[in-house]
Amino acid sequence: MKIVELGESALKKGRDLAIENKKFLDTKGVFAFDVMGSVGSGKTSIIKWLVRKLKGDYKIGVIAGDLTTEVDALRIEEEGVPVVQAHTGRVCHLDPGLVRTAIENLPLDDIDVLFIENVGNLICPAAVPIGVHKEMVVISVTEGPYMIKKHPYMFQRVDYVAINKIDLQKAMNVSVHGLEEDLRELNPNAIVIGTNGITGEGVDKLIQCMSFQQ
Amino acid sequence: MHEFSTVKNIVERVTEVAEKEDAREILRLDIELGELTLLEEEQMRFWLEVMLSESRLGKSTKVVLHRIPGVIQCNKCGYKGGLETTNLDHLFPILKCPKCESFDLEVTEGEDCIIKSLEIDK
Repeated sequence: MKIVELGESALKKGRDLAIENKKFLDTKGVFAFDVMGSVGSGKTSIIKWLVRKLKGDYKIGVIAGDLTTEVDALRIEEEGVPVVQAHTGRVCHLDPGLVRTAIENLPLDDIDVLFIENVGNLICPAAVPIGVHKEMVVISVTEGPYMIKKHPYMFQRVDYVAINKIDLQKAMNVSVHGLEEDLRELNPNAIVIGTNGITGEGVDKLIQCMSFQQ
Repeated sequence: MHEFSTVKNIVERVTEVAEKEDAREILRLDIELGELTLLEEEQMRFWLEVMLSESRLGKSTKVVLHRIPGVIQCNKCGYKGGLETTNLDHLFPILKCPKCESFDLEVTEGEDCIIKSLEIDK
């Protein structure tokens, strides 16, 4: 019998890969956002609006993370910017290895700003850094009034929160203000903007608050 | 669910180490689990037991998980120590200084998952 002392981090490999991704993007002059949120919160719609409104000023690229389909990638491609689909198969989050492969399949010399749409899930993506400059969460009033309270890990370090489907506040009896109050309990620094993924309302305001370089 | 990929890394690594040591069996595996990771103890135990039992050297490995509490250093008031849960009914501690309520802090412990040691039969 023998005891082998290891003292090795089981998370280090992934965290190091994420750091490498960010460094690689820096060398290419690409500023990247990880866009997270629940299934159906409107991540793709908000990314489409961001692309539509920003593509005159920046060269945009998108990585669309999904389990097995290409629905989101095809929707974003309609905006005429390079999109790479990253399939996770059965896994509930993007990982830095998948992201690296996707990044390498993009024409990085022609990209200034990269949006990476994570898999729809408010839990696992928060645990797995992929190597970006800023993090955004898209939630929607249709998810009910407790989404932020219930997911402190996701919200406590995020940079931007788009509260989507603001036109349904009354029907859902859920207010942007109430969700924002919950967020302030966890994260006083995040920028919070109400949005409508159908009409694009709030997206200009969101863009005004976002930074696109370090 | 994200526990699965972490456990996969752990089982691959300990199998590699045990094979290098010419082990016949991994008898015991000690893992330190930080409370500020999103790794759930029972999920970790479940996946470790399943994946070890399907590995060549881990058929009867005893898995021992050690919970490591979160420790922070407050950049505002200098507090160094543990965190508190909040009035939001969370089991998960909120990253906020329990002394001065500042969010400007560094996490110094409890954010990692360490493969501490393995006991092997040679």
